[in-house]
Amino acid sequence: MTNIIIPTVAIVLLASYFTGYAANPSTPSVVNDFYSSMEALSNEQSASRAYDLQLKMQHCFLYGKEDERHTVNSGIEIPNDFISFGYKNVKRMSSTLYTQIFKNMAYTSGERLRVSNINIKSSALVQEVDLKNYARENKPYVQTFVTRTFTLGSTSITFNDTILTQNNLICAISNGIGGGDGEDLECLRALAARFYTWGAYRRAFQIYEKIIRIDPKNANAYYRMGILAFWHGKRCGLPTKKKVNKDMGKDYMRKAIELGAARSQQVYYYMIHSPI
Amino acid sequence: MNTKRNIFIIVLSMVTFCHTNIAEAQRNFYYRIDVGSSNIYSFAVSNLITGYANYFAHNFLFDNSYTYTFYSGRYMGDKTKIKPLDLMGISAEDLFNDCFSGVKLGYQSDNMGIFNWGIYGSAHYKINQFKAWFPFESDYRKECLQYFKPGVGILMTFGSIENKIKVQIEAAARYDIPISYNGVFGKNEDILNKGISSHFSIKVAGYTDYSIGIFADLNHYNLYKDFDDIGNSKFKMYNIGITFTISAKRGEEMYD
Repeated sequence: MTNIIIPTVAIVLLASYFTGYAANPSTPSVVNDFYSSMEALSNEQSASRAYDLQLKMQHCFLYGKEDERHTVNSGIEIPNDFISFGYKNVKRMSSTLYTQIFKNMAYTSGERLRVSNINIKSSALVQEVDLKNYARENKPYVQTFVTRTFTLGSTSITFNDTILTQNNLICAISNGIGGGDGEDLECLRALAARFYTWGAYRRAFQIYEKIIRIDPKNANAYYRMGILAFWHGKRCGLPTKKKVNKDMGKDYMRKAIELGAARSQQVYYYMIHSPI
Repeated sequence: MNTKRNIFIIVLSMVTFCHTNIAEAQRNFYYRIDVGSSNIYSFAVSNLITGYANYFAHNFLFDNSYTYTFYSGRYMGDKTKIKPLDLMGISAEDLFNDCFSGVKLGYQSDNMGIFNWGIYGSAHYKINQFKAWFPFESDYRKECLQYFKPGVGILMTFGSIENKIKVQIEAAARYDIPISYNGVFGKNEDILNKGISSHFSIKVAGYTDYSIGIFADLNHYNLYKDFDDIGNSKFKMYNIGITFTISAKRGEEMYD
């Protein structure tokens, strides 16, 4: 019996070392807090409690610290969800402004903005290697998918949110790739990482292309596109000729090396050599 | 003699085929030339040679090994005493003691994920020399055995392209065909048995200047045919060794 158990344990340990496997996490409590506060605020009758709920929403964001005027500023920009409800000034806004406008529309205004159908779907670790290095304090990101509906009068819109949390604090919110929020590099990067981890390489590749259009010196995007083109060119929707894809992959990786992407030299080495 | 010549031609053809295909750099084409010996000096010199060969080939072309052979013999219940040749000797027989060479050709997968696999066919030549004191003799007598070993093997590689280190586990079965014998039982290879031997190795390599591993070869048959018919008699050999290969990493400009 020991003869079977020891090799099995060894193989599992070996595999877990190389995969960095970890079970999918439960939904971070901050996501529940944020959306429950949002829903509660839209039904709140008391001004002081509405203000407390707004503050609670603000405190859900990463680095949301009070300044000398006791205002919480996270510095995180999130999509303007209120365009269709009359607030058309900007496409994106700070999380602080977002909570203030939300409070105004959900509590203060005459006709109140209602929040309904909040559905926190699932959470997953974002384990893309670069992203792990990029993360502050080397803590992994957790990505959570949520749907919610905003209703004001006869206008009703359902949003598909992707929430990125770290250390149980929100560090990015995206409404999907095609939405007006599509210029946020951190969101795009997280989404691409998620697709990459899932093996949805075509979508990941498209997002990395978009990142390069926004930021032509983004080393991580070149690095990932190099890997995808070289090993999964066909699945990324690239030409079916293997050699063309492999050359393209090498070109991207050279660019990533130029821009100083972590591990790019190592992967380039594996591209031109048998690794073992 | 014709058999030896044919085997030599086959091995040479395989090596040539392998070498001409390196330029193609087919990522799914697995090729490797194995060399090894049990002499310290031979191992050092072959490491230099194979290191430079890998350097100029810009790839892992050679695997270089140091091997040590254990013998276990019993004749009619009495133990056979075995003495290896001088591992640090500089005579010709010492330098080429337990030396082997061979080629492995096959297919290997090329996934960016953590697991890759491969399968290969191989052909090896090996010479074994030792001194044995059989119970029916009055002193140690030198034994010299030469084998041709065709075989098949599988490879399992753990480690993704983003892991600096990869681990490769190899298991192979080889059919040992004696091609020469010189020793206490005469000078005829017919005295030796044919049989299966298994080969296991684990190797670590990757984005490094070298690869290192350990291996074991286990023979599953009696070396001498005579021992099959005599009760309580057996003679087997086992090899263990380390593989240390200098890689080709520094052999080129990375960004050409």
